[in-house]
Amino acid sequence: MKKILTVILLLALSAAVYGQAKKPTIMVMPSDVWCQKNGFMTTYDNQGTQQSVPDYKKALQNDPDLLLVIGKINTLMTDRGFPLKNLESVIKINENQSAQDNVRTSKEGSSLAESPLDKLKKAARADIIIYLTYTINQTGPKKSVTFNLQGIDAYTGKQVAGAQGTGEPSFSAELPSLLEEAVVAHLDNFNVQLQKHFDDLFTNGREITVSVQMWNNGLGTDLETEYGGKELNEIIDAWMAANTVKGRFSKSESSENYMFFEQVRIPLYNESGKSQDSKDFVQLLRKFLKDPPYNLSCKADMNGLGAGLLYIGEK
Amino acid sequence: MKTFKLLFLFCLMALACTMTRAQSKSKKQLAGYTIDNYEVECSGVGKEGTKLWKVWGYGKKPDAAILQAKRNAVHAAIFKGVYAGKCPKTEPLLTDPGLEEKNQDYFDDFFRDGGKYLDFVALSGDGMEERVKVGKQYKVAIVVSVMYSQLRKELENAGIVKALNNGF
Repeated sequence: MKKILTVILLLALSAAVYGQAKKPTIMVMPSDVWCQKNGFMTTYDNQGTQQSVPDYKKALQNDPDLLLVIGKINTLMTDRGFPLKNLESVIKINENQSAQDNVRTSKEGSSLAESPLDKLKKAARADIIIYLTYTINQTGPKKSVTFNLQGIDAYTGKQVAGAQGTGEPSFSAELPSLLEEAVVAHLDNFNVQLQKHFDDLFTNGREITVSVQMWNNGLGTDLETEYGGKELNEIIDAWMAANTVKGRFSKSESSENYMFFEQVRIPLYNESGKSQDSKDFVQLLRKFLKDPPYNLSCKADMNGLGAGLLYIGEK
Repeated sequence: MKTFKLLFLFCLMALACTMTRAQSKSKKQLAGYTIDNYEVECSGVGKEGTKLWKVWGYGKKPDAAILQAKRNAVHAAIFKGVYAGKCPKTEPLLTDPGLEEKNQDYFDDFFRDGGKYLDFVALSGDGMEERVKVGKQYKVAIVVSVMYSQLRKELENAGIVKALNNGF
């Protein structure tokens, strides 16, 4: 009897744990425009083309006002029960991790395996990035601050929340006070939109993208291969319609080797009540294609919470 | 005689009906959420977690009008929002109109005379900004500081407003 009770308790506990949707990570970053305007860009040679990218580390080390604004936003969001990832800490952790990985060896002398893709994935990122831009306007002795917060879903690229505006001009206020005031004035409105985005998430499911690609392995299978009179791309299309919330998705690209689905609304929880992300969703498609009559070996992968990747043909 | 008795009974019932309606209307007006013809505008960005608003109230005496204005300020934070004045708009804490009626008992108690709403509003400055006699009533404007973050937490704890991290 005790054993049965323990099992029931454990099941209830695991249901409660699984019943929570994965909390999106949010991070504040200065926008490219801000970095460009304040001289915090770095250039690198990308196969012969000079490319400019923001130098976040330099910006954080040299601009105390930027640190103040990011710190203020982080503090206010923590008060709302939504602590943010701190850009400076993430950069430090990544650098520290890389340094440790470079010297780490096993007892037999092997170094850590890391593909170029793994290196890319280690970059500072979050599910929602709040791009921050502010400019200081000066008319004679009067100063004001124009403030712009854009909450971008990192994987769909959509703006899910925003707040913009110019504060009241002041003769005497110091710049840090004006910036602090701008954050306080705008963050509530930003959070109202963020809340609407989360409400939509719970009602209509998480929005992700799904890309399906074929390995070039010479086996002769592609997305136009027929199974029972239907092409593989039609079969995947039908599976998407059956497994998305209210059948919501749109196919924006389709060829014999590539399919790309946007605005794919996936349920927050799978059938067993566990919260699911883009990889879990694509795993379901992988398992579907592994079974007869398709018998296709596939590799499922993800790019953050919001982009599911399926490679058909082999692992 | 019988007709007179019936007529008397009918009048009594009609009077009782009118009184009940008047009472419930007055109660509802006290609760605040039926009154939405007040004016409110932003006076400036308040300190962290607060809003600085200029709000108007009506009353037979100036003191009563000040009290009504305070009630209006908290009402605006919850139901109406503030879209005028010197700072960015403030959206109401309750965006779903159905929640008012669903939680009527809570708001009746919250907005009663001396109710909990007074915990979330404080006079800012010396008191009355404007005082105008309109008919038999006073129209008074005051600048108040609304404890917006605390108010949101109160409504979150009461289960009326969802917290930002709700469901995660």
